[in-house]
Amino acid sequence: MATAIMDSSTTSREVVVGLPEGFHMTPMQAVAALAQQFACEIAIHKGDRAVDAKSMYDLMTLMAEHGAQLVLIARGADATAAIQAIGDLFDCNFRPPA
Amino acid sequence: MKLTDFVVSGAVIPSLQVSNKEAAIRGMVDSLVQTGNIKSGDADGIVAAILKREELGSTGIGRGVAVPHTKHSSVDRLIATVAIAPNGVDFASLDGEDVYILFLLVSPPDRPGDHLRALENISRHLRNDHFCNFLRQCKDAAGVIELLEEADNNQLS
Repeated sequence: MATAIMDSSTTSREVVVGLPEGFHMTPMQAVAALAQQFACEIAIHKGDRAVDAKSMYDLMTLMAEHGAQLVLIARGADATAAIQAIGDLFDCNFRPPA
Repeated sequence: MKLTDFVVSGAVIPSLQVSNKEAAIRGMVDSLVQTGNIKSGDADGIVAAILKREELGSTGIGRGVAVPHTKHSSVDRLIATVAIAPNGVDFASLDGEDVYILFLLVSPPDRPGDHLRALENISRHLRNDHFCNFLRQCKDAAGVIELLEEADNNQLS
């Protein structure tokens, strides 16, 4: 569970779940696999709840339906790149770039 | 939503003896056919859909657990079954470990929220080592159901 305390190595970004079926297991696996490539802590916040983006068990508890607003918060040396990469997944609705 | 709301008690398999992922999925779907929750004519299509979903990425989520699933129009509510595989099944899991606990879900296409709620429920309990250990020690289906009820009632520490 990451902290929401912001400092100079912390980056955040809001995303919206655009998938009609919500944030289900296939996109969760994409997020977890990508997040695990970064050294920084990455949390996904939904309301007052936060889960570890690197953990499938955590992500499965998020229950983010279509239209849900989430906040990605990363803390660490590569936080900016991590938030960019994971945010892009949500922005393109988890479709691979053409 | 509770585990016992969607796990079909008569379809629980306390000792699944299979040699591979496809056989595990087939066995679990067949158990839902035997309880009348899936029509026999739909079984092949459901097994194929679950295997196709597995091609997108294994639902073996690590720590010996897999959650194979699919949507299918033949069911009008979310149903699931649980299997314990004492000898383990190679599920191409994310952590490379064999799977010993399987939750198989079939949900109606128009109820994505129920599917997410079931995933939340399952993962919340499976993060509890006591729950996983007790589940793997169950000797019969009645023991599995009793454990699910205890989890539903937050009776596990």
